[in-house]
Amino acid sequence: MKNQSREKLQQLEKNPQEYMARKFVKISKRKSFKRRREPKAYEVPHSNYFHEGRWKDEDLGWSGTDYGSEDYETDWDDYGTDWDYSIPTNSSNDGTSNLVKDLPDEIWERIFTNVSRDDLDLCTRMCHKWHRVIEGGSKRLTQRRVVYGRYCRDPNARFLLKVYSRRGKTIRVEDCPNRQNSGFYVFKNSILWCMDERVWNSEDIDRLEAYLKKLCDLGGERIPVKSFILHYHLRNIGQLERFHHFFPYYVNAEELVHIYGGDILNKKFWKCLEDFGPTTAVNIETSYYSTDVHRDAFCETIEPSKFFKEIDIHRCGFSEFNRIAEENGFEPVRQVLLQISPHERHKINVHRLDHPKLKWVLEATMTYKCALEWNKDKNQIFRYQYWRSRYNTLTLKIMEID
Amino acid sequence: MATESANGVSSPELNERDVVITTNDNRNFTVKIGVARVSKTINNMIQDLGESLDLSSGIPLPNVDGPIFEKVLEWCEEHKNAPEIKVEQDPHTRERKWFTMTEWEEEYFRKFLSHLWDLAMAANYLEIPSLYYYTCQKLAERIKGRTPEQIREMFGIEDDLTEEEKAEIRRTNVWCTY
Repeated sequence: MKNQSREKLQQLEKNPQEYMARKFVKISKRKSFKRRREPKAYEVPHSNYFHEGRWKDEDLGWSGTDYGSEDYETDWDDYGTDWDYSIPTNSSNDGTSNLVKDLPDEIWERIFTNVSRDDLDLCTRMCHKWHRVIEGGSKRLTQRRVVYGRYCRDPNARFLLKVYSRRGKTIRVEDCPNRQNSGFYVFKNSILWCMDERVWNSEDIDRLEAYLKKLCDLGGERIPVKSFILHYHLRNIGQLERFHHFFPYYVNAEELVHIYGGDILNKKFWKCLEDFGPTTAVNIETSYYSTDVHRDAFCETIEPSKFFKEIDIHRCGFSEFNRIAEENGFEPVRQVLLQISPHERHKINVHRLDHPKLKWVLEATMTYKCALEWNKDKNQIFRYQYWRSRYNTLTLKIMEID
Repeated sequence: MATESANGVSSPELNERDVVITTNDNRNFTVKIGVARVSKTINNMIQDLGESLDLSSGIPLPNVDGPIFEKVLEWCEEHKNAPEIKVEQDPHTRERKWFTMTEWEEEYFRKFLSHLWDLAMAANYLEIPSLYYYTCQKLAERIKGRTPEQIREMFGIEDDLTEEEKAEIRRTNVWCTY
């Protein structure tokens, strides 16, 4: 053993670089055998909003590739004890050179573009130089921290909104040091992942408006939200029109998702959606779960175009549909088959209505979830029934044409 | 032979020709033009010189030293026909999507682990986007998801902020956890 370590030392003296490199390879190989462990800092606090079945882990980006899944495989212990991961300072080993001071701001800025806003929050308090680079109004460092909110509906509560960052820091909006600007500091460089509101009666709309207004006033700017989900359970359209009127003033949403009951999908409703001119690009999505009604609803909903009115998507085959589509100057239909698991698959038809004369693009996605056995079975009638027994989803997306 | 015509700047024959590049420690490197062109700085020089390009006397690089240029050349050799890198952003968080590196690139950075920041400086000066971005990503790997103590140790950062400045930062950025 002693000989071995002496040999290692000699190697290190002779050729430090190669030795270090080899050692690094050794460790990185060993790492792969270790169980995947997620760093604690990334644990997101429990919130009811994520457990309603709508958002999966992938949606939140925890296990998605967006946030660099390879990062999770990094085992910190390796760096702390076994392997000194510090970067050797400049090749001139006079001890005075310092990586942080010697690298020009421009390069640090480029390095910082790679990390998340949560990491920037840490770095900004490290030293003058990093603070200057990060807070110096760089146009490259635009990343936003994702925050998750839980808000309080009780008018007597001391806080309006409780927000969590990915690093696990919690802030109550009213608890901030400067009351006047508290919201502004919370929402600066942040995006609220999801807001979820239910409307059962007209008082709900009043309450929602008051709440959004207060939050917006506190923040001094519109509330940045990725998805605003509105569950609308009212029968009349009037309140919805009201919502569409005040919503863009208070919320800067990237996506607006409406979830409705079935019987509201009619011509009048469609008109209301059509009139809604969002100031930001807002997608309106009508998710609709049903086995039977959706077809009629779809046919009614597509009123703005004569094209869709005249056609029954279910009865006409794809070739015919595409022929009519092309004759009318529309894009042909794309059919996508998604294999989710060995036992089920999704069949998605995307109907895109895109015409130079239209101000909006309508994208209708019809999803059929059906079992794989469906194909193998030779009994025609049984096949049909089996297919009907699964749910179908209709998603409508309206986008403003640039 | 003294002056070579560089009219057909993009012609394949020219890419096969050798050019001499001199670094600041007076080392001469004989490089194929096609390889040297990965660096936009050198490419611009070649184009600017045009007719008057003297392939034998070479191009001086006053800001790069020999050992580093050797490493950069290794990268250029591998990436001479590589397409332009694409920088993508997550639309919601506006975070940069990280590049996936090939086996060769991983090995390259593993080999020159202790020279990453020299490489970053050289790549910035020589304008080699692929090397520059990749090196910066490698450096950012050390910041990502770590605790403040780890970062401080890793980069050898001295705490040069006063208490008032820290309080100010804490006031303006409520998310600052450290």
